[in-house]
Amino acid sequence: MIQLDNVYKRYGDIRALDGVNLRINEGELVVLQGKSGSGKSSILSLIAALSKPTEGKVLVDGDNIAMLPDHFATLYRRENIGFIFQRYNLIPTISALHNVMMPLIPSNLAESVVSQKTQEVMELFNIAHKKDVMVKKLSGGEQQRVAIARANVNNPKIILADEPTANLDHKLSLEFIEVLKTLKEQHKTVVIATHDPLFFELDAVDRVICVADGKVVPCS
Amino acid sequence: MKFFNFYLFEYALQYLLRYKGKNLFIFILLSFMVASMASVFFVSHALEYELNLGVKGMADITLQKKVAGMYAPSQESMADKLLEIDGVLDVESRVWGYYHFQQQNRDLIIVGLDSFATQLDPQLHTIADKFDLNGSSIVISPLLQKIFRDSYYEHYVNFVKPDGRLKKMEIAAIFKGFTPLEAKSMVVMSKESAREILGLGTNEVSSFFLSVGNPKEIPNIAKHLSLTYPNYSVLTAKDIRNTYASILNYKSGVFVAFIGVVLLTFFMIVYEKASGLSSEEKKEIGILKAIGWTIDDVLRAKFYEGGIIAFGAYLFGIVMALFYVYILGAPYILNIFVEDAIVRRFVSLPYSFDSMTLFLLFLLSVPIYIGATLIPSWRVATQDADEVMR
Repeated sequence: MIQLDNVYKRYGDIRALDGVNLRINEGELVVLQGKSGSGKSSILSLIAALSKPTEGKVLVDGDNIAMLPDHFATLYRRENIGFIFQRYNLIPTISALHNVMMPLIPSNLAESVVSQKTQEVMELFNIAHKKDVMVKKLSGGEQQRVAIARANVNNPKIILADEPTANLDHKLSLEFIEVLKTLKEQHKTVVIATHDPLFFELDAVDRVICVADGKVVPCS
Repeated sequence: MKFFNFYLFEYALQYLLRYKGKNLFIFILLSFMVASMASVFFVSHALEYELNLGVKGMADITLQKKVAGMYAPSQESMADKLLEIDGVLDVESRVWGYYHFQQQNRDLIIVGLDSFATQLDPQLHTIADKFDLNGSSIVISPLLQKIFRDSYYEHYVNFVKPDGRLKKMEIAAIFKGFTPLEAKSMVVMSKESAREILGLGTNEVSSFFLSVGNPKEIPNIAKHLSLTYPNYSVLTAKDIRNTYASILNYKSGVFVAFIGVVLLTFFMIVYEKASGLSSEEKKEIGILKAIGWTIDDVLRAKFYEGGIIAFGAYLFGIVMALFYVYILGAPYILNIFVEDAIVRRFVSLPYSFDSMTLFLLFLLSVPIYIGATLIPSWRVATQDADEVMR
């Protein structure tokens, strides 16, 4: 369902992606493995339509999202994508609850619906007890749970996670793996960009795709 | 789909509270700007309204003799000639004049009333109807009562006649309905007493007040009078109203400099706000876009944000101005409009609603501030979310 066809991405003189071709099936849990600067985050950014490729196609369910104007790219993201950023990208000075409900606000749903969906997803990811705490006062693990809850509150079919364990200790990383299992049970397509070896041998992981110097390469 | 998005509004409110120091400063400054401008407008409108009330009771044409540029008395019999002019409905010959009250260094206006004659001025008409003015009684305003009391005149006042002798006048009544401001200095008495104090002969009067049937004829009759009586000053009610208005406009002009400074400060803030966002603010817009907020959603939130500050400050400023002008009596501002400290205490500021002024103030504050909030956010929101978050 996700397909990158001969994708190039340049930031000025820097070549972030250099002719990437890959395919990820619906419901798959895929790990993009590679060093920092290898191009993993750029791939996630293109799948999320957060940026556009310099060349090539990014197809999701057959539609080339690379061609979408900004407004429709945002609507696509709202309906299809849950993104867990490396540094979580939460708004630190508002509560966990408000951070989680943020993606629902533009949908203009009834207040009771927004409230119910937010509560449910916070309970699912075990962060409901911290809902009124300002995010900057939460621990790293708790902040990550808020970020995961926020990524899932719209019930998207694709979850993208960029270096999800980079800021976590071993115990919290194992907790995140439990979260991944929950997402897989929900038949979501999950793409994780990481260089943490913890993910490479997991039963839950369907495939590992290696990325180096902006290209998909065979894993050694 | 709901018309009002509560959570979007709540987000905007939270955003303002997160930067409360900066936003409170802008709110106070904007409120102060609106309040100061509204106060000046309210005071000048209230005084103008009071002046207009006075002008309403004024004769259509006022005729007064001038000799070598100085006002001089006329013979009362001239009223009959004036009445013969086509279009003139009525002529009132009035005995009046300025009297310098030396104890308080103040000019009073002596007005002589004939109880049997028609009074064009509704205030004088009421006084003539209500009080029986004999040869030694006067009717004054509360302002004059205060001025006379300050000179220990509680029940009577001694006026000095042109021959140096005194004329004792009893204060018969205090009339509270004098408008405009100038009329508060009136001392109303019988025509004979006024003649005695002002040094006029038995058949002499100060001015003639003409009432004209067709208002369109007023300029023609005034022109006719000027040509027929070149030694007379001919003033229409419109001329007098324009004189009052120009004095008021000049006084309002004093505030232009002050308001200019306040506006300049406001526009500096607007410029600073419109010129860009902090990296933290930019990143937040990037995050919002990354989690599914469209440019429209971001701008709606910013619209609420700017609107809460600007509209809130506008309303607060107007309420403050109403309180300052109509409850506190506009101290300081009134000092400039009405220089006389004692008169100031007797100035009433009648409420006059001027929707154009309020709308002008609204245009000057609310849309400009909202625009200054939207422009930098729009610039950031139209970039790629990925680029903004980096």
